[in-house]
Amino acid sequence: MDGAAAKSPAVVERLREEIRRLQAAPRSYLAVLRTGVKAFDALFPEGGLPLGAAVELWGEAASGRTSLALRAVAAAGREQRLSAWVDGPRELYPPAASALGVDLSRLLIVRPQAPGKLVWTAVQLLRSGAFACVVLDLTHTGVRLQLSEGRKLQDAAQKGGTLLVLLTPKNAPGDGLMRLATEAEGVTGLKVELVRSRRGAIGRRALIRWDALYPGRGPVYRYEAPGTKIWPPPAADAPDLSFERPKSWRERNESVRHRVMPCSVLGAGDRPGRDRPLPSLGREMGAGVH
Amino acid sequence: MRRIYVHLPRFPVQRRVMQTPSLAQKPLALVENVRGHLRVAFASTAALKAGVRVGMTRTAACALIPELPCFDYDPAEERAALGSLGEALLQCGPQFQLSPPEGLFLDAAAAHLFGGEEGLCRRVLEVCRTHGYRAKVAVASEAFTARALARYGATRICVVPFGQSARALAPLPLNALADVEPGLTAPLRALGLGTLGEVATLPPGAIVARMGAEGLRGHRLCRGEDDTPFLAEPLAEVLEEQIDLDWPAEAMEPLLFGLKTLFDRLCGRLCGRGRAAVRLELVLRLDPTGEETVALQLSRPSSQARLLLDLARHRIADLTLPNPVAGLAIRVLESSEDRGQQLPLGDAPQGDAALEVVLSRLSTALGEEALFASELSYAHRPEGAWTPSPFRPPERHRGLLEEVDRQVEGAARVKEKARGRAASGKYVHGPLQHPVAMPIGARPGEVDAARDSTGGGERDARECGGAVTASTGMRDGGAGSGDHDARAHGGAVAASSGTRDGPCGGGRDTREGGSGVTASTGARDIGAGGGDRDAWKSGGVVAGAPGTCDTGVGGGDRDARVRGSAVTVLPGPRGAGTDGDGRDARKGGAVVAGAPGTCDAGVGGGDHDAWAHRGAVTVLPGPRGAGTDGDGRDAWKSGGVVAGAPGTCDTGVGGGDRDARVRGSAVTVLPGSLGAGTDGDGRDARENGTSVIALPGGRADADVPGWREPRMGTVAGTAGPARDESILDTFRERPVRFFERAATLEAEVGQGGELLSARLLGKRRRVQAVAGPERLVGDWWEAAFARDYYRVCFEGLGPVWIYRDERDGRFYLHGMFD
Repeated sequence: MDGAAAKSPAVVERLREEIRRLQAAPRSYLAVLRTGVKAFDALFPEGGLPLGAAVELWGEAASGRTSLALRAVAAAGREQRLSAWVDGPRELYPPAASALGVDLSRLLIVRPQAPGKLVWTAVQLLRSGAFACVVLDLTHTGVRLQLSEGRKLQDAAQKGGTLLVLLTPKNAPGDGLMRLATEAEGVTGLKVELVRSRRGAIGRRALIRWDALYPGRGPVYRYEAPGTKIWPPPAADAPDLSFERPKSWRERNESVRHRVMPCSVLGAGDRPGRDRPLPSLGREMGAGVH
Repeated sequence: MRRIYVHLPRFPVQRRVMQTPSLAQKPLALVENVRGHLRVAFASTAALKAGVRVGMTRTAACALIPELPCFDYDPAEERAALGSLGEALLQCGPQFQLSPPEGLFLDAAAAHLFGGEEGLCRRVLEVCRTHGYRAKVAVASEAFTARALARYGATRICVVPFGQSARALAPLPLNALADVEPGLTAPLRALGLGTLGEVATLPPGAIVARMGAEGLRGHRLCRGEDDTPFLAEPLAEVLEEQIDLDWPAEAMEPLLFGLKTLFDRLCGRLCGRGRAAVRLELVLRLDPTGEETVALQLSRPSSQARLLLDLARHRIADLTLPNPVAGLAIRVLESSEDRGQQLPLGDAPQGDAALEVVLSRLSTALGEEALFASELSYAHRPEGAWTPSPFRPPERHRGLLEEVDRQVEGAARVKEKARGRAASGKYVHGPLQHPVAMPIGARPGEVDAARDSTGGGERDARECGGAVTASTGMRDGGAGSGDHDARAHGGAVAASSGTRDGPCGGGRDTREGGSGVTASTGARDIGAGGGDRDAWKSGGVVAGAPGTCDTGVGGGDRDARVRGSAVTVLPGPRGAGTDGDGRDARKGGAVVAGAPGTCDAGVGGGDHDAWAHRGAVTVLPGPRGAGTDGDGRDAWKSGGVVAGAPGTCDTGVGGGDRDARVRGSAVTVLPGSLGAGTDGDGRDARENGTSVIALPGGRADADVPGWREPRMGTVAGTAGPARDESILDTFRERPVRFFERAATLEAEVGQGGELLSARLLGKRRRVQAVAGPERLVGDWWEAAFARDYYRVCFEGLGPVWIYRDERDGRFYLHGMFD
């Protein structure tokens, strides 16, 4: 008892010291989201997508924009932070996102009915500060971001300390944001170029291979040159769409097929046994029988 | 029993001031109707100082203070509010007893958790202060002592040790006795007595002689002798709080005042019970009729009144009501355990509040259905591979706890993975955290009256590695006897109850070389040839489930062999044909399960084969072949999942033929396939790679316990060693942009059938590379589809996901690897 009493002040003092040390230690704030694609992260002076900023990924469809945004979302999830995806075209496919490392339980998907609500929704999410990364997808929505809206988004991102990734199509770029143009380079990968930035480094570019974007098996896994893969030739006439194997009894009883053929197939006055006499069984079975 | 009395002086007045803060420090009175007269029941301190007294008529009180605000006193409402406080105090004690209108008793049994009874008293006062109440407390062994000291004692905290009650009560005035024995005060005062101590010193005989039994009771109380029992208040099942507004509210402000009161009380009750609200319902009662209901859904459980109030404010701010609001009610529809939140030093939980507020705002503006999270579901149709779910992100632990969490999560993941490898009879997709193990309802003991009794049956379940389980109730009653072998070279072997051998005897061997073999219930062999059951295993677990019946002439043949992990033969298959029944469940890799309820009673018998070399094959119930020559069904797959549904019936002469073969993923044989052909039935489920599961109950889907629509992973074209990796790889080959409606592709196809070019995004593009096909076929008992999927790189574009529909031979664009 005495020993415990003697020890307790020492323990308390040690705990106090530990608390002082924790309080004095620099707080580790999340400042950037690294996609894990080195060539892409190197485009930014911070070494990744900076929080509190807005980045526009601008390019043709199938040019890798969504995958890059998903890599940022996955990075936020790894830090146990939340992300939101304002899905204007309603095209995000969560299984593929999960395969890219996105924690689906920490990803809020918002799909407003009206395209006019997309920017407003993103602003609300950004202002809240509850999310580390907000992706606003304007592809296939017909929405073109106005200058004022871009500024509003940027202010909200800055205020909330949130990264905004804006996905815009080739024909409707946004205004006033840091812009990265993406372009697919066929089977090789995609090309990313910094085309607008207030921090300089305009013109910096990187070639990202598909296998770097999709480690392991990805979209170009087991690719073959065209022509080597032979498709079954399309049938000229309407194919038989039955998914059942041909009935064995049909094959066995082929010679008497008409007996079990549905009457509806035959004409009204053509039904054997009713409208006309049954054919001779012996004649059908052929001369070999005899 | 030690109990603590919490005295809340003029509790109704305190509540009124809390509801209307502008009344603080001002005179007010609560009046009640007594025999047609409005009399003052409670008055504030300012009113008492001005001369207002309890029992005074309202008119007399208003004569003293002309602008005296008077409110109705509702005892039931006050009691409910007191009960709410009592529930909030449950964090200090295990039970409470109300003592309306101004106090309550609390069981002081948990005092040691607060550093003694004084610590408990301080904690109780702190809780009361948190809820806005002033209070005095006293701890004693008797109810009267605690109550009297709390009400009339000089200090806010009074602790009376056991046996010291008389001494503690002695200085109290006679008014303390008036609350319990009101008739005694005047006679005692007439005798010149002023304190309880003076009463206690009187001889009991004299008291009884002058004042009778009532006097004796009072005398005992003054001496600290009170045996009043503690009657704990029962807790309401449903957490609900309601309030009637003083006048119908047409603006937001009075509503918020009312809501604050309600949420304070509700959250106090939640805290007392250690719960946190997940889903609430706010009802706005309108004047004169009608009501508006607002659902409050929380993404994270919370018992913070401020957060809930913010949430409710955002939800009702945009409401348009036809009438003013007369009353409010809040009901907790769903709650969960309150696990609290670890915060770093000096931090505040503002992030959660911000999240709730923004979610509330968005759901109000966009609709509840516009916000969701997603969950993977294992449908092999790409459209059904995920489902929306409520957004409830896991709680984020910060600081040192975060590190601990990561370690724990990592350890759990490793453990789960290890368990997944050794799992038996369970189809688990590891990293996706959604086990696809089908619920298997055992329906043991189905009996097939044997017509033929010569062929016997044969069942083998062999295992070379882990455990072998044969379930109970197997009977061998045929002439040829039965042979049960359960051998294990690895773990344990257990033969369970109920195996029977009929006239010709049976042979059972339960051998163990290492692991485990269990024979379960319900298998019956009544054929002449007897039954032969072997459970062998080379790796994991083999279990033979109950209810298998072989009653045909030829007997039955069931083999469940596994060279990798687990083989499970489930209950219910019946073979009543002449040639008996043959079922094979073989596996070279993971799991093979044969489900119950398959019946073959026809002349020709049936042939069921489920082969899998890689992925998954499921044979589901339902199709029936009742023709003369039976029926033949094949479900083949080279890439994804093949599922055969339950309820397939073959009752024709020629029997049925079912094949489910897969070279890629898993094979599942579902319950209910009936074959009544003459030639019996043969089922094979073989797998070289992943898993084969046969589910129970095929006779009627609804009868199968735990039956649900099977969901299988899209394990197309996978050859990986681990199932979890194969599933993840499959999703890696899915596009990040997926079109709900596939777009028709204007394609140019070469002579050999190869795709040369297609028109995409406004211009014709040549194919640069292609991968595939990945064939997805399924649901042939519902809406059939058969698609060959390709990942194609077109000129000037990244990879896209297209498919060729087998039904019309055309190409469709289904997604993009953007």
